[in-house]
Amino acid sequence: MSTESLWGDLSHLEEVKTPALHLKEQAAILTQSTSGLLVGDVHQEAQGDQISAELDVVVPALGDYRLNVVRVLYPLSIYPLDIQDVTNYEWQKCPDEQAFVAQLRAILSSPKIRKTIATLLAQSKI
Amino acid sequence: MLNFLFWNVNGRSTDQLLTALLSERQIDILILAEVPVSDSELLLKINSGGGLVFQPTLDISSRVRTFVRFPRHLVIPIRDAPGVSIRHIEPPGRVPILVVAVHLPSKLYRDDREQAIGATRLSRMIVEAEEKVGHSRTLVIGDFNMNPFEHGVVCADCFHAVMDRRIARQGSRIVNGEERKFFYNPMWSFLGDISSGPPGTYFYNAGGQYNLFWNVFDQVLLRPALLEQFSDKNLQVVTQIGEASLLTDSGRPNAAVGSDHLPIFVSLTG
Repeated sequence: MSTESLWGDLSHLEEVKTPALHLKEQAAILTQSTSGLLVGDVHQEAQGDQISAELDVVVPALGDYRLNVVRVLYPLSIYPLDIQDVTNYEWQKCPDEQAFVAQLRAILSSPKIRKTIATLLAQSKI
Repeated sequence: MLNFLFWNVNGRSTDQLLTALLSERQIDILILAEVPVSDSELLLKINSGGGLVFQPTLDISSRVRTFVRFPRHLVIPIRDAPGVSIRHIEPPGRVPILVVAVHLPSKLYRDDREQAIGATRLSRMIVEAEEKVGHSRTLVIGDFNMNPFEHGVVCADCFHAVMDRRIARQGSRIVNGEERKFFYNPMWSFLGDISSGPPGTYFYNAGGQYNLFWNVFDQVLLRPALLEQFSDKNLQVVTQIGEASLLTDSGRPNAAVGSDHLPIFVSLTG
């Protein structure tokens, strides 16, 4: 008698995109858009009962100077999560993925981050 | 001498006092937290007195800012994260040092456990930076928002900062099979009213059962490699700038004159 799976069909589970994956995509876009003059780098680690994921901008021309632009703290259930904007030091709570993406967009396209990216890019071209 | 000043100015405009203090103490490296104006506005004011000319470094976090009195190319940016700024500084005629400026999260927003987790993360950043620059002549200075006796400052996974330089001189110890480097924290000696200065650097009457009143949130930590350049008399909590006292009649920080935090001054010899 064969063993019956009580799990249902595990091959058709909903795909979950983690915050770290979102950050990795944005990191890759930064690296590609600047032809590697600026490198996006994401690192993730467990912190207590949460996972911390950080997006850094690394500047090879400045000896791999590293600037943290976004930090996300999330539980195993992912949402609600906390996201930190380096420019104003504030944490925002995001109840779902849509709110997280909106907040990530607001931070990455903020005037201060854009100005900083432009400055680092300019210094990389010297 | 290499003179450092840290001051959390609490969003207040303290330009005149600051300018006087920079001149009085011949400050080389200035680190400020909660500055209410832009770098350029501040520099215009503090450089206007002649004599010292400060240059900004590349900080985008408004939490903590570093200014130096040497050519900018002698300051190599290593890393910035919220409330943390790590710079490799090559003062003219001296061996380079790693300067970590911090303004860590307030207890208003993070509990003790979260502060300790943050300190663990920062401790790793410091070790990575030391590996990158190839030495551990490291000085950490700023507003830790923790007292010297709290987990985030003391624990081996955090800053691992001890009150006894003889222990710190051992360099490191093995904890749970892993090597953890020491910092020396001279600020232990500034706790309480028998200390050489005021009973702390920040006064807060929290009410309730557990009330310290005085805190030493503003601290400087030194790796053992810098201890030869450190002497007790070269570390002070500043309470007087010229004729102006930074304290009220009851001996607490006078926020109406300066800030609710007192500045700390440290000088390295050699």
